[in-house]
Amino acid sequence: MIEIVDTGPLNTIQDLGRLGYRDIGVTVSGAMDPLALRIANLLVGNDAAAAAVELQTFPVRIRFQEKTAFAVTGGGTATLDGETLPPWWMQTADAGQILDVGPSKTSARAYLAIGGGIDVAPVMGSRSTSLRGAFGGNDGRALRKGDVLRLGSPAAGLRPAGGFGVVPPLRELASLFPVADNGALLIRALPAGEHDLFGPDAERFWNEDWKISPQSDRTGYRLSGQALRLTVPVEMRSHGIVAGVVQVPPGGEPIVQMSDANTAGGYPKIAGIVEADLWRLGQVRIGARLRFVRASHAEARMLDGAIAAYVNDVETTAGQVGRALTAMAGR
Amino acid sequence: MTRAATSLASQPLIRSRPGISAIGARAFLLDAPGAFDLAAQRRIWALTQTVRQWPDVIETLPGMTNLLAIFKAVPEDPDGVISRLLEAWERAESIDIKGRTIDIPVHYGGAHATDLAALCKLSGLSDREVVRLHHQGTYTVFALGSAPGFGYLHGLDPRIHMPRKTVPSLRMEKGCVTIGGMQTGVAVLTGPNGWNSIGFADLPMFDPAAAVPALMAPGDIVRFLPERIEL
Amino acid sequence: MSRLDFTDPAVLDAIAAALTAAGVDGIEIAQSSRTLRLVVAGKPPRATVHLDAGPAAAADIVTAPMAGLLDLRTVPSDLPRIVRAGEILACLRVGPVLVPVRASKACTVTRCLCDADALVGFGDRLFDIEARP
Repeated sequence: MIEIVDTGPLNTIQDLGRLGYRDIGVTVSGAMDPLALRIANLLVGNDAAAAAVELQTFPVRIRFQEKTAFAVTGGGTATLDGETLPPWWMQTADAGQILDVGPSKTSARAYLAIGGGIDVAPVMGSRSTSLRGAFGGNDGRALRKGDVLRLGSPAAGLRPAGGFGVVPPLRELASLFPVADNGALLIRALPAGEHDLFGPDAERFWNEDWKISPQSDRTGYRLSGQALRLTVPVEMRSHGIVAGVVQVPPGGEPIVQMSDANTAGGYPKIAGIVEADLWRLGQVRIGARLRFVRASHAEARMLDGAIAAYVNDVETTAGQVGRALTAMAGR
Repeated sequence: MTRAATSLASQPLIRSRPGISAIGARAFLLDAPGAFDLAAQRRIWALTQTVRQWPDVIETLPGMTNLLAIFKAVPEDPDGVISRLLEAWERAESIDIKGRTIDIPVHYGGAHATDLAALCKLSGLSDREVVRLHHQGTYTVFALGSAPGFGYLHGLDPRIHMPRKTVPSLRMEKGCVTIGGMQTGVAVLTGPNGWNSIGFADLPMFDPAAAVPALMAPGDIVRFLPERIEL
Repeated sequence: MSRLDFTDPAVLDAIAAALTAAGVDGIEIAQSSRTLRLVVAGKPPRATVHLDAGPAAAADIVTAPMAGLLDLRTVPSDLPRIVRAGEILACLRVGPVLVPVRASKACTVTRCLCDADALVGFGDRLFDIEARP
């Protein structure tokens, strides 16, 4: 078990989301940075889709009540009993040890995976917390000081006590995830249904920088910039949407739907972000700038392939190195 | 219910041919041509039944005379996907889902009917007349979405259509019986809501722990029974 | 010498992974003439192992716990650096995985004996250290 000694608000248990129930109005939820969640799980020998803790408000303090393999990935700066851990790192904590996680300058969210996963009851096939629906995760709510979380049984292959880490995806795949000269994150997207109805403003959408406004959370990001207007107003019929859709409400400032996205929407949609870039967006901090880059299905496939290869490489190599280090330690 | 529709003085987009657009690289939205009516929706249900069998499709989300198909992976041949969807639409026969009939007891008026007075003003009808038109209707569940188990109900008398609010109510109780444009429904979550409330229903619409979590399904018939009228 | 169990498939897997990461494409073992040849394709490994590190006492160096590419980016690499026992001095990169090189005792790290990203083998000398009380 692990005990939440201290936490900010809105830190939740998440996995890769509650898929397959959007057609009855159930939000997918799931990690804002699913890549970091998968890597954290692989580092501790879990299935990549196991439930972990998503941390987005800091500081967070956790006490291990038993010997536990854990990993912290994504953003966040972690210390174990005061000793700094490198980023994207797994280690084994002894009973009583304290993990502190603080914010990082560059990334918004940290993921804490535990050997065996967080053992909360799955609801509709997922352990993700749906705050809006008040189900899933830990009683359908954010973590609170004093919560004690039960853990699943760790997989057989032990992890070395001395720990190890991975090269973060932004370093390993740097060439595939570029940043503009002015620091704006370049986010690839495809034009969506009402794109052309924005006329000249559609071009502005692609050419100008957008800023992540403070009205941004797991449900969606509101972008600040010069408002976009339809050339002719249209009345939309409600339709299914997915995370990454960029809608333009009457005010003209775009909204990007994120993990807790509604399942249906009716605002005109100007673009849809490719999934391979959503994890980066999940790590964007309020005030950061981004620019949209028009992409193709082929490009999206290539990016998905590169991410899959990285994850696969981590899974294989982490298993091998983990076993070898454990064997050497026991020699 | 949703931040769904624009509240601009806007014109309905009526297509002569089905439109297909992308939302990201893995989801394709087919908008049916023609009016927003039961015939178009029946064909969307038929299309949904076909497309959900496709081995490369992971989820189908029928909406209001449209269908979002989410694929397992980014398709290698997006133009091929568009052709397949159009072909499936052409072949889709209108189907009549043999749905259940769900009776929902309603307490019309009272503290929860926060927008009844505004609807009377808009329609020029008395509150009694508005309530009568609402409970005498027979509604079809077009689709579920926006919140867990929320059913978009079609069949509202045009005399009591009422646009969604520009500024949503900050806190509307779960159970409020609402009107949004030409549709009606029962709020399933307490929270911000842009639809107009005229009453309250106690019937639970969603149970996350149940084998079938949502009470309603597309094609179901819904009737509102006036349990109490408090005007 | 290590007492690794070379009949353990997991150990062989790990060695294979380490060799692959180091750019080794194949191993030839000729029993009668007792030769072992590592086949490296493409550019030669960027190994700049300083074998002339001198006859320093074993206590004054830190050696590589396994083969890999020396990663000096994951933890601070400015020298000299005062570290506690067990603190991470650098990592060894095996594919995308980073294996820590830890100080066995409290010390001052005075010199790094390899270039960043150099290929190092098990037991190679990585850092000169001065023990601290």
